[in-house]
Amino acid sequence: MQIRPPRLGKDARLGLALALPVALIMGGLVFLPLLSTLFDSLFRVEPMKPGTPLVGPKNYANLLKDSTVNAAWITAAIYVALAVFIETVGGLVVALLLNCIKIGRRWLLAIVVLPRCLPPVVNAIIWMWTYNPSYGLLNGLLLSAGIIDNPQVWFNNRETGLLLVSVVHAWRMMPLTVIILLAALQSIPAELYEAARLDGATPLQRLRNITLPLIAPGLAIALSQSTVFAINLFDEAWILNGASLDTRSVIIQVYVLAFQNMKFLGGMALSVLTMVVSLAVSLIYMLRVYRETRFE
Amino acid sequence: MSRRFKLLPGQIGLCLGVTLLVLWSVGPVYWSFVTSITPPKTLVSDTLHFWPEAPTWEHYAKLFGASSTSLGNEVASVWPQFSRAFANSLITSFAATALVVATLAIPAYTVMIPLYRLMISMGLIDTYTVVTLIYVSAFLCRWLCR
Repeated sequence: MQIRPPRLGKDARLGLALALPVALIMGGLVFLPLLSTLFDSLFRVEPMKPGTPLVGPKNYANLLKDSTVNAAWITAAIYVALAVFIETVGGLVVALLLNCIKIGRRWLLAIVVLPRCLPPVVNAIIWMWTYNPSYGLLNGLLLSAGIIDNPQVWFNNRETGLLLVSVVHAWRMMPLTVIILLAALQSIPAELYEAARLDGATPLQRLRNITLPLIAPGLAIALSQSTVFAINLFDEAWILNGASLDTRSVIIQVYVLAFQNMKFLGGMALSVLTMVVSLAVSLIYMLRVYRETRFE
Repeated sequence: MSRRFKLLPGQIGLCLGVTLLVLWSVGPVYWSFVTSITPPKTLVSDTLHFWPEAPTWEHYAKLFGASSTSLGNEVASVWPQFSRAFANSLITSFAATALVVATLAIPAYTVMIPLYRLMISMGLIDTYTVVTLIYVSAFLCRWLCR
C-alpha cells in the first residue's frame, strides 16, 4: 500500500503565493546582503592595498582599539538613553492624554502623527532653522524670556548638541510610540478602573497597578523600536552637525569609515556589531518588559 | 451611568495638555513655513517675528516657475529641477507602496555595502528600479545609488 504525502490545500498554496514576493524581496535585499556582510567582514578590502586576504576577526579587533569608534559608541549610548527616555515618557503622557479625550480625538491624533509624516532629512532641516544661531526660534524664545543674554551657537557645546539631536529624533519618532501605547490603553476594560475607583485607589495607584502592567506588551514593542531607531540615528546628527566628533553616532562612524576613509570592511564590521547590539537590546526588552496579557 | 462630574482643575489640565501637544507637533512645522515666507532681510533681524510684517511668496513663486532678481541679477527658476525631483518622489513612493515591507529588526545600514555591489553588478545604478527596491529595505543606500 502506498502512503500519499499530504497535498497542500488551495488556501495554503494561495497563502504561499501571496507571501512569495515579500519573501523574495526580504531574502534578496535584506537577508542575503546580511549573510554576505557577515562573510565579507572577515576579509581585508582596501583600495590602496593589493589583494583581499582573509584576516579573520581582525577587522573587529581593530574597531575595539579605535578610540574614535569607542567615542561613537558612547555618543550612541547617550542618544539611546535620551531619545528613548523622551519618546517613552512623552509618548506615555500623550497616549494617556489622548485616551482621556472623547471629542475630536481623531483630529488630535492626526496632528500628533504629523511629525512622523515628514522625511527625516526635511525634519532635520526644519529643526536646523529652529536651532539657527542668528535667526532661530530657540534663541529668539529664550532671549525674549530672558533666560539667556546672548544668542547661543547650540552645537558649540557637546552636551547641548547631543540633547538637541535627541530632541529632533524623538520629535519624529514619538508618534509611533504614542500610537502603539494608545492601542494598548484602549484594550484595557473600563470595569477595572471602575472597580479600582470603588476600592478607593488614587489615580497614581490606578496607573501603577492597572495601566502599566496591562500595557506592558505594547511598552516592550515601543521600547524596542525606539531603541533600534535611536541606535541607527544618522540623518538628524548628519544634517544638524555633519561629521563632528561631538555628535557622531555609530552609523555616522560607519559611513565615515567605509565611504570617507575607504575602509569598507571596517565599516561593515562596525555595522554588524551595531546590528548585534540592537538585536540584543530588543531581546532584553522582550524578556524583561513583555508579558502576556489576557482580558477575560 | 454618567461620568459628568469632572472637576474644573482636571479640565483645565486637559486643555493645557492638548495646547502643549499641538504646539509641540505643529510648532516646528509652522516655524519652517514662516521662515519660508519671510524676506531674507527680516529673517536675520534681531527681533523675533511669529508672522512677518511683509510676507513674501517669492520663494514659492521661484519653485513654480517665476524668475527673480537678486542684487540686480536675474535668477532662473528652479522649476525644472523641482518638477523632476517631485516626479521622482511620486514615482518612487507609489512603487514602494506597492511593495511595502517593514524591516525593523535588521538595521538597513548593515546591508548597504553588499546592496551597492549588487546594484552595480545588476547595472541598476541611477534607475527608478533601484530606488524603489531599496526604499522598501533601506534608506541610507539611496544616497549612494542615486
